[in-house]
Amino acid sequence: MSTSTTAGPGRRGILRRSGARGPGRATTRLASAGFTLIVGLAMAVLLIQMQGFEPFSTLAAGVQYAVGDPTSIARTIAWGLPLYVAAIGVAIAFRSGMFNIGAEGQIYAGAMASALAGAYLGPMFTGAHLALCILAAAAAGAGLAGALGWLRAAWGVDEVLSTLLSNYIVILFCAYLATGPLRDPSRQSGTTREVVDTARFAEILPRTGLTGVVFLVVALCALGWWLSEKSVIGYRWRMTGESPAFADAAGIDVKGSRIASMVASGALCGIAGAVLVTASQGRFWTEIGSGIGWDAVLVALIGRARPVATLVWVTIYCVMRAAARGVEQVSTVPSELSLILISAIIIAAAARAGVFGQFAAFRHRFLRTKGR
Amino acid sequence: MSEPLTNAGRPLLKLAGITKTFGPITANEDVTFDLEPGEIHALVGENGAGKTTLMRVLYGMYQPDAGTIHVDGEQVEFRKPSDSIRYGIGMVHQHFMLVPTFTVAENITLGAEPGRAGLFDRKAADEAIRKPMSRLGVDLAPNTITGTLNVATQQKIEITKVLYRGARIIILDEPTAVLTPQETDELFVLLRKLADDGSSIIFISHKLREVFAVADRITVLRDGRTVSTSATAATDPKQVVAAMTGRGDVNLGRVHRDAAVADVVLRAEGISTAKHRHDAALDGVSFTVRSGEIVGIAGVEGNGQSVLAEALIGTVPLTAGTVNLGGREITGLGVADRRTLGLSYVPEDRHLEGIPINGSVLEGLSAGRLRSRRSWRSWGRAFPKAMRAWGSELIERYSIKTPGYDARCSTLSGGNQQKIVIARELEENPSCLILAQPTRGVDLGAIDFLYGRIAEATARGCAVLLISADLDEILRLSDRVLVMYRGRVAAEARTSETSREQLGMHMMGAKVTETAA
Ligand SMILES: Nc1ncnc2c1ncn2[C@@H]1O[C@H](COP(=O)(O)OP(=O)(O)OP(=O)(O)O)[C@@H](O)[C@H]1O
Ligand SMILES: [Mg+2]
Repeated sequence: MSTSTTAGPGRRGILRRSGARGPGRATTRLASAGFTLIVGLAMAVLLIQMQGFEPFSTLAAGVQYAVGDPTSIARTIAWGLPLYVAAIGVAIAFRSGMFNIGAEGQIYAGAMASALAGAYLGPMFTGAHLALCILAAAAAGAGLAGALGWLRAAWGVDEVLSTLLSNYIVILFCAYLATGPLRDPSRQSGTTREVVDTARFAEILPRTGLTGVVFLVVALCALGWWLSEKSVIGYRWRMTGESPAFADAAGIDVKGSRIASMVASGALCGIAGAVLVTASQGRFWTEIGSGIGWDAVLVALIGRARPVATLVWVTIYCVMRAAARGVEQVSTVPSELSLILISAIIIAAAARAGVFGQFAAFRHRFLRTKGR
Repeated sequence: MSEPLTNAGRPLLKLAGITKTFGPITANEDVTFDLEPGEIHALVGENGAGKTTLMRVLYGMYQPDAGTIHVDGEQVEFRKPSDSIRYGIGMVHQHFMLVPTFTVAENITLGAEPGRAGLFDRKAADEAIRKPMSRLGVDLAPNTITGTLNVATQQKIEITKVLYRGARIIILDEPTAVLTPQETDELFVLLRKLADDGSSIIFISHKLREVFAVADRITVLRDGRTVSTSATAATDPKQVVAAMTGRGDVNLGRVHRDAAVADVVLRAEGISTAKHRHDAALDGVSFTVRSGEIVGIAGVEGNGQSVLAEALIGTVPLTAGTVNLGGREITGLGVADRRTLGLSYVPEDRHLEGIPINGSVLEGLSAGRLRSRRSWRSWGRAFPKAMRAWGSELIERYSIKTPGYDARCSTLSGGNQQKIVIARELEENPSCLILAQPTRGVDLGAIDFLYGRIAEATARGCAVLLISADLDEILRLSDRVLVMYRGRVAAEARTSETSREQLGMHMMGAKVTETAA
């Protein structure tokens, strides 16, 4: 009836099953997530058994460590805060068809910017100083991602490649700064100077690492959700991502939407970097991101770029990571093994979410069969 | 055609009591259908009557809730398409399922590659597709990229694919919707040949002219139920329309309009473009459309009509010439600005450009209202209650068959998807409306309805440019016709003073000038 040949894998295939509505789909999705977790748990039991420990009590200890009491819950959440922000950021870009896999680099850029703002400006009124640090981080991330988005919109430079490569460039450049011109002379390793006290969030629960930044994170997640799922801007972004030709013919500014969503995505990832600096590390150092950007990409993919699903998966991921640390403390199950297990669970979840089909679409994008 | 059927014993295929529901929607209810060897059996019905659903049940894409399928007298159960393929059933879908970036050989053999599993053996594939290709008279290099071919050829590739897999029952879901009259005639010759070779064909179409030209028998579905099955020779279009719609008053002739033709609204002067995809480049096209007037653009596909539509709305840049809208030059403006100035556009490719296929009905309807919202209000809610109520009201007013504004566009039948596009564009209250293939795949009753809405728009003073491969559509609606040939306007005539045959000749590039005619 129409000339479209949309059935083939294409870039829009990435989020093909979008717009899932009705209770039916939601329950199947929940059931499928539950199934994955149960299989993961069974594997964990097996693993601990193999190490010669009583599996259930060991696991229980792990879970206890992760979410056993308010203090441990607070600790688990505190660890996950940057991941929440970064994952929402990545999801927003995915939703508008921009594969921002440069989250890690944007986190480093944001962390560097806020560390500099925190160390070289001030001391001043703490609210203003924190705002400055966060704005600096957001600007760094947004500028980076926005520039790559512009390259894609205006020149068709593929953002998958450009954001991927940007990671290495940015991380190495930041490492150069931290070990070279901006190095803290009082330290041996590659770190920048410690931020002044007015550029640090205060702990709200003692000895948990949970700081006032949690309010900012909640606000940013809510904002990201609203922007992408509810607002008119989000409508334009989603249409650009799912049906670019439709958006174009309907008069929606496709280029503008692509750039703007990358700016928003990069800003959030940059702020995730600021959260790392101002709420826990207190300075930039060369390994500060520790793969959070990659985790964010993964989680956003599993959550199919839906903000709520993504946040749920971030939570699950954080609890698993904390439980793994707990298991390590009470048994000899090394955390590497736990990480392998978590990876296995993630892979299973990804398979269930159809992420591999999405990678097939990627592959297709780059490796076209030769013909004329 | 249609020689009397020799009822050689039991039918090749028999569907009995097929029922299929999607949640609250009953798409098929107690449907009976059978197919004789060597027969072309047409399946007709309004949009959403359940034709595609029935065929998908037969093809194993959907599992029926009730009912039985017999092939050669043997009861079968198809859980997936590969089951039905094993029984010699093949389907060419309403929306093609070719991978545009694959080669012809890859597409045809996709899923049933010759040679060892997992490896694509190019030589073996080229060899294996030669026979079905020559049977259809398709002459193409196997390594041609599918996306570069025109629709008619892509369709032949779909049919080749079905033959390659050894089908003797071929399902064609609205195959002619994308074809020009000439291509349709070619397809019919081909179908007749396949039927004479012993294949059986199920043919779905909304155009009764075609159904009566090619089918041996006609089965009518209405609201998911079988209404009648009769030999083509024993019935006539009027009866079929009445069976399809349940109404006797569907207008199949010229649309009545009382619009006064006034000032020029759209003026194109010497517009040219570069070559775009498989359509011809525009080469100095000039014309005007007046307020209240409908100007038809006829032509064989690939002579520049698609590019013309896109150049006017602003998705394809001009290399020369100017476009004026209501006296204002819009040549350099983008789509959004042109739309703001009163231009509306129904694109020809519904799935790609017309609707967000994975979005909701409301998201498809509201593009016009949300596009132009500026500044801080864009941070506000896209679909507040008022917007949802507006969406429901449009669904009601344009009789879009859907469970609600929240349904995904892809679950609507083709004709209902088209109603979303037309409703959205007419609601913008345009001063000039560009319609590209506006009723492709839309049923007779709905066409009647949509033409009524278009006539109303012209009565309000809207200028309409109607680009259509369907000559009947142009003859029914337009005041003037321009025929495009190789990117130029080859002929112009008042609709009342021309005929199908004459237009057909111009479309083939015959050098007959107005004065000579
Ligand atoms: N996957 C699906 N999910 C929900 N509803 C569906 C689905 N497929 C079809 N329907 C509904 O079933 C009904 C029959 O649809 P179907 O596509 O079979 O109609 P059709 O006769 O082929 O119409 P058209 O002529 O417009 O192509 C419609 O109301 C449609 O909305
Ligand atoms: Mg159909």
